[in-house]
Amino acid sequence: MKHLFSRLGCLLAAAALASACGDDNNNGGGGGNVVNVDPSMTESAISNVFSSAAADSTIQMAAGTYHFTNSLNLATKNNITVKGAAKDTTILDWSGQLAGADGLVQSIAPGQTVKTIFQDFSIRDTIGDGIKVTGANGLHVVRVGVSWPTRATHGGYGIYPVQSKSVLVENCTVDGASDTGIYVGQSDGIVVRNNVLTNNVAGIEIENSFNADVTGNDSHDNTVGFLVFDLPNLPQVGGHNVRVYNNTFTDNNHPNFGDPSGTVARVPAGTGGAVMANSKVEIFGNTFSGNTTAGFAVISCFTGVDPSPSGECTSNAQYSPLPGNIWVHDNTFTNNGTDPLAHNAMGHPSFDLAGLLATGFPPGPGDPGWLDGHVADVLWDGVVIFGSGVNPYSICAQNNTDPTFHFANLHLVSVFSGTPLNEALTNDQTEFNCMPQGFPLPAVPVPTF
Amino acid sequence: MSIAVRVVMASALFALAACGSSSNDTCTPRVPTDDSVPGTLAEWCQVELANGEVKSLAGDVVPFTLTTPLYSDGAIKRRTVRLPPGSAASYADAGALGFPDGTVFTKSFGFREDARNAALPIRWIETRLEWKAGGVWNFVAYRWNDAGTEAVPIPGGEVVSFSYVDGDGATQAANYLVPSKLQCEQCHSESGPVAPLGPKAHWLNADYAYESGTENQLAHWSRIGILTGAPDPANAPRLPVAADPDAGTVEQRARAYLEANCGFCHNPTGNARNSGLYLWNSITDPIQLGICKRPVAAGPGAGGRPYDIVPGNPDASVVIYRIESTSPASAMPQIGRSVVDTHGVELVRQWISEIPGTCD
Repeated sequence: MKHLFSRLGCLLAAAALASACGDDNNNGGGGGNVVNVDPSMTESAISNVFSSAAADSTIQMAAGTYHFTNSLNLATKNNITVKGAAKDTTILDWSGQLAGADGLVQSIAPGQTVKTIFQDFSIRDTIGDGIKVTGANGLHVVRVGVSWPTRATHGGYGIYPVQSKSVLVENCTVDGASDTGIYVGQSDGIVVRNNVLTNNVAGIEIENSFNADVTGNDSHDNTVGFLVFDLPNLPQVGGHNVRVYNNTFTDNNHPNFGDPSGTVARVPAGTGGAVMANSKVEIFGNTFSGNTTAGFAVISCFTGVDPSPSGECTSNAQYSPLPGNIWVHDNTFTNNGTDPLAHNAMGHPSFDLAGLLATGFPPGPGDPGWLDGHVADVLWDGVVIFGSGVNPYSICAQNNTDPTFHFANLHLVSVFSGTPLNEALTNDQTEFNCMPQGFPLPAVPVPTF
Repeated sequence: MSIAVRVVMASALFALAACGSSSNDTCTPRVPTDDSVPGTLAEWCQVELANGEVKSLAGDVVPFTLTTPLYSDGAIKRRTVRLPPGSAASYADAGALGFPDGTVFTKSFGFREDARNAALPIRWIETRLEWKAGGVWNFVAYRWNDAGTEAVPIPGGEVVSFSYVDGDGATQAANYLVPSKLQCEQCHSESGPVAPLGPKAHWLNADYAYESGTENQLAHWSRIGILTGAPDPANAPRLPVAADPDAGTVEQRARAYLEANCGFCHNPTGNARNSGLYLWNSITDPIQLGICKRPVAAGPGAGGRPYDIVPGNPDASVVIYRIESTSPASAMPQIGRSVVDTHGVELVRQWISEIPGTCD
């Protein structure tokens, strides 16, 4: 019986190769050479199509549900388009995954120039990430869905480009990632637009990256709508030039279910968005609504990762633990920060930060951070370790449209040194009504092929 | 779509022991000059199975071993290399030796139904081929038939599920991965372009029991003319046999184990370079080694543990969580291991438990 299966697998593999060679005239998508794949083929045969695809090919995956037990790998193939019939009809199902950590994987060695397009299919139930691409120079992920409808434990990331250049993620949906829906790490030249993120821990994260535009996204019912973070001890640090504009961040109150060791596990549920330790970030034209802990926060590595002045945040001379040049303007804040501890159970790592945010704002009249029935819309942790003046790092908020808009400086550096937060907290809006030098930031060119 | 997984009971898997095939003394090596793949392993004229063992098909096929190999679900491995007649590899202290075009490596993977009983036949699953053509290394796995008489390429890979009894008498259930061609490349892109991982001076610098007698492998390769520029083995680097307690300190052996099993991705140019966790033996920065380094982008793979390595506390270390995991979501290496290497884990545990200091 096994022998028969082996033979059958061979025949199917051969058939796949034959079809790969016979469809040169069927042009479509990115690459000129079209290779057809359909759900009747064995997994090994499909994987062989990926292995055998020539550069500049389109792997066209017909509608239907494909069942995979192993990752599908593209290695260093250049200019491959993996294209389904449509996001809702070509389904790549990894619910029976036995090998490979992720679904679609492309890991490209440094110094190689490899472009890839993924479009028009859905990924379900990967044991790890949905799509992970390391080292692309040109990556488009378009009209791709990632979700975990039948797995009890969800993978970390839906769409995860890392150490890549010229990344475009648009019109995708990610539901239920146990870390982040769309996570772009250590990359340069990024456009994340018009995606829908739901039920993830973080909807979108731009991590340790340069030159990113995040726009037109609808990130709702996650733990946190978006993060722009710079983390220590990574090959690329110094995240900067990130614009987050014209998005909606609504009702991001999902209980935090991130692995407790991860950075996102420390972000309190109910956060519209947060920036950590980046420089040059412009947040404008967004709607923050119904995020019950806080609308938007600007924090340092000391608040988000490690409070020790001689720990991880200061162990790398190239890394700046402090945020700087942040301009938050022309956003609409509605009904945020109304119940800052509602979703943050004691004992969960996120409670530490939620508690810091919340304890300064006991819901009582006269407390400086709690005004008009909610926590201030824009929070800065106020950690200052060098410089002088009220606002040495140009954390700026202007012209945000909520009539009850408030900016709060949490003075957490005072908290770390033992001063109770609610004594140190101030609400210095005047000093923070500013635009940092060099703003507005330039647009990021949309990556094209 | 049929799933390319066959759940096979141990009895069925091992019932058909590999039978010897007839060796062909007249075969001529056929080495592709590109990435095309001959339809059977026999066409390479490099190795066959005979009496349950991997047998070289020509006199210039050189078997070799490594001091500390990659663990692959407990597979027995047999390695050979053949260089084009008259050619030689150039020696390098670090990285893969400089092999010429036309070099072919084979690596065969097999299991005994009960690893404690050396009298049992080895059931050979696959033989992986790696050859250099036009300056580029190519990869493909050949899958053996049950009789061990023929192996055919399986560039798309396959998960083979079976059970066996390991050397400690424990039953192990493996979802053994015959890697797809591109999964081969995933691990073999250690330093940029794909390249061999094992044949480096520090892994080869050990004795091998050749038919002609026992000899250091670097010395043997030099003597038969397939390696030039090598120093006396005493002056060449060597990483210890991790499994041999007499071969080095716990730290030396654990670091050798981590390089062999993790370092091909976890290095400044490898596929896990984004993690900042580097496990080459040459790394000295404690943070790069994972000591008090938080996991990044590991998601659930970190197992809720705070740092990659917590000095003195293996049970709090992400590294241990990942090498003890058999879920593809968190297991390390990411591919090619579905069974826990209990002896390797024990060694890394011991090393971590001996690291002084704390993270807080």
